[in-house]
Formats: sequence, C-alpha cells, structure tokens
Amino acid sequence: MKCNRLVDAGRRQFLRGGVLGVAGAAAATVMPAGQAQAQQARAMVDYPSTRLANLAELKVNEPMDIGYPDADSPGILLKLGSPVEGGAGPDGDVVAYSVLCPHKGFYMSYHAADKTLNCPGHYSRFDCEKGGQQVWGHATQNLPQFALRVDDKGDIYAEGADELIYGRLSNVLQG
Amino acid sequence: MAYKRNIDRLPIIPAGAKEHNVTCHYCIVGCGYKAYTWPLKTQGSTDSNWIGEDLSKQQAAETEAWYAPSMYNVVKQNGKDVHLVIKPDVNCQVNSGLGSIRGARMAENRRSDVTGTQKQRLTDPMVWRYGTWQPTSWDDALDLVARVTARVIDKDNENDLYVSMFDHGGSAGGYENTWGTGKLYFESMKVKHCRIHNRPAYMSEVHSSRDMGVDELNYNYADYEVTDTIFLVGTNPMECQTNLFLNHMVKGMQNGAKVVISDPRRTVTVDRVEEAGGAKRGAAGADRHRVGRGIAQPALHLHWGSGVGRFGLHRQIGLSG
Repeated sequence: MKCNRLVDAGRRQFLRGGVLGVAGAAAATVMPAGQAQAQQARAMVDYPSTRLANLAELKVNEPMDIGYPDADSPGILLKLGSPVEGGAGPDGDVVAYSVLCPHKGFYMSYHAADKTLNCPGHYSRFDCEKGGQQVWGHATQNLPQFALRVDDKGDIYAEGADELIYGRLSNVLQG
Repeated sequence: MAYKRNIDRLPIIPAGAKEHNVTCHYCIVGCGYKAYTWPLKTQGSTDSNWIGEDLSKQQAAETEAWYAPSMYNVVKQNGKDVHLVIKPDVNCQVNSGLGSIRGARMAENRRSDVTGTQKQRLTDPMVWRYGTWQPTSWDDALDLVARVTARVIDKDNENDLYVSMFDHGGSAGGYENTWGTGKLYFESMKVKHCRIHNRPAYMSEVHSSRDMGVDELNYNYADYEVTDTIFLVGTNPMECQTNLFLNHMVKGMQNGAKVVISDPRRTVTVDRVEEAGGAKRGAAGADRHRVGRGIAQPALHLHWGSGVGRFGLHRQIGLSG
C-alpha cells in the first residue's frame, strides 16, 4: 500500500513538470547587466507563425516535409485521415511533428501502416495519432509536436512546440 | 494523449562549470555520464559555454552540445542551490554517449526543493506500527533493529540472521535506499547473509546458472563485439542493459555473431536481433542472425515486470542482476 502511494507521488511530481518554473526564472538572468528594470520572463519562447502548406496540398497518410521553427529543424505535416486529440483543420486530423529523435537526433521516417515515426538509430518509435507519444524507445520525452492553426483559406500555420527539439537548447534559436 | 513538459529551452552550462564523473546506478552495465553544476544565478550563452560550440545553430545527431529536460534539475550542493545537468559521456567506452531511459533521467530523479522532484524521498526512518508506516526517530528505529536482531541470535544463532533487501536502488550511487541499512548490517553488525527482492539469496534470477559457469554480464564488453555466438538466457538486454546491447552486442552482430535467445517471451531484443539479420519474423531460414527459440525453458524464468518502462516509471529490473 505504502509503496503504491509513493509510486503515485512520484508520478504526480513527474507530471507536474517542476522544471518549467526554473527554466523561466533562469531565463530572466540573461538580461543585460545594468538594466534597471527587468523584462518580463516569458513562460515559453516566442515562436514564429509560419505558413507550412494549404489543406488542399495534403494527401491522407502521406507526410509532407516541413521545417519549423526554422529550416534547420526538420519535421512533417501530416493529414491522418481520422480525427485525433490536438488535430487541426476541419476534420481535426492534421498534425505536425519534429522528426529528429529526441534520443540522439537521428532523422526518423514515417511508417504509414501504423502511423508512427521510427528511428533508424536505436529503434525508438513515436505515435503520430497520440501527440507523439513514445511507443517504445530510449528518449526521455515524447516527440515535440507543432501547434497548428488553419485559417479560412485552408492555409496551415505552425505556431509553437511543446517539447525541446533535439539539438537546440532553445526551440527558437537565439543569437 | 501524450504528456508534454512544455519546456522549450534550458539554461546553458557555462564555461567553468564544475564537471563530475557519474556512473549510472540503475542497471549493472555502468554507463558513463558527466554531471555539471554551476551557481543558480549564472549561466552560459550561445557563444560562451562549457563546450565552446556555437549554440545559436542547430546541432547534429549524437552531439555533445545538447541535453534533454530530463537531464536538468536544481539541487543542493554544499548547502547552496545549483543548476545540475547530467548527460551521457561520449568518451566513456561503455556507452559512447548513449543514454538510456534510466540514466538519461538521473538529473530529473534527484531530490530538489526547488523543482519539487523526488520530494517523497524519506527524511526520517519509517516504522510499521499500528497497521501503517509511521515516521520515527533514529534512536527508536535502531533500538527496534537491535532488539529484533538480538532475539533472533538468542533464540537461534547468527547463521539464521538474514537481511532482506532490494538491490538496484534509488537515485545516487545505487543502493541509496538501502545504503544506510547496508552500512549498519554489513559493516557494523557483520551480518553474514542477505537476499534480494525475488530471490532466496543474492543470486542470479536464472537459478543455478552461476553454478553452471554462466555468470551474468561480467565479461569484457569488447568480447561481445568479437564473439562468434551470443547466448541470451531469459534476458532482454535491449531494454534492461540498453547500452550494452546497442553499443556492443549490435557491433558483435554486425561482425557476424550468431545470437541464440532462450526466452518464452517475444521481447524487443528478439525483434531487433531478427531485424539485424534481415530475417522474417518467426522464419526458420538459414540466416546467420536467426534466433533459435525452440529451447525456451519457461519454468526456469521469473520474468516479473516485463512491461515496457517508459520514462515516467523507470525500470530497475536487470533480469540477470
């Protein structure tokens, strides 16, 4: 009984993501020395709103290569064919993910049969219908998913990411 | 829906951060990690950092210049809060920079008053009284241990005294959850016997295998790269000794080693070994990496906890530990 409760406590701590506040606080310390008034520390970095494609260009279960937040961060834009939680567009089935494996940064390829992204490096797999949840593998985070917005014309814009992208310590690169 | 941290940046390790060697404590493989600590109110920048890389650019696969949110925390060091990053060591021959779902979470799995991780770790001894665990003083806990121990010795003898413990323990150098009791029982009281979690002694999980001359994973890891045959009995090294498998056994397979797996389960290790040989699943062709599974001895295997541990709940079960 006690043991189970400790496990639950650990899980709650884990889900709470306690590091977030610290990352924000630490970011505040990079402000230029001598600046009397601190700028507001943002909870997350500011993301560009980038047009990726139009709905009419997407074919069901055929990923389109994209780069977001910039061209050096490869990803896919994908129309799944059936609605999913977090899916964008009129059918609620458009999603976008980073394709750099959060384990060691290898390029992953899309496996259409089970709608997963698969890593050739060490065999990790991520579920594109479940927000990039790791099916199996060595990464210690789920796959970064890009937040999408679709306008009246059917243009699809990426406007954010929900996990740290492999190979950069700030999702939007900073000088 | 997948859990997301919504952490999209991390503090950068500054040049001059303290660097410490860390050996992962979760399984018996012994992967090398580097821990970096630095004062809470300082950090590096994209052009001045611990590794001298230009961090304003995307880093390539297998880079040293990246760490995941799970590799970061804030901990107390010499009474002061410091940033902590624990990341795989690319120069360690054991793992060559690979991190497992266990070791790559060592920072996140530290107790931290600032980030709130692992706050459930005990700060007082607990004793089972009146149907529940209750905190007590060290004097009370040690008095209880002394009286129970003395009664066993009075009634029987020292050879009847066993310590029941679990190995693979907690965060911080292994055995931390039993570290204090280990000091007490084995260093101070000189207790002769112990047993671990699911076994009657401190023994292999595969009964009598040591008596047969088959010890577990205690060879030079380079042997796995040059051997003709790898024989895996009731173990699932791709999950349980991840980097030994990825960094050494896979190289052995690439060098032509045959792999024989005796296991009633179809583990991911089986899948991977079959794929390495290009064998169709379940095929019995003459492929050199074909897996022989006809000699499984299910009666001999205790394979509890065989579910896939994702990062939320790390597995501490080395099947042959």
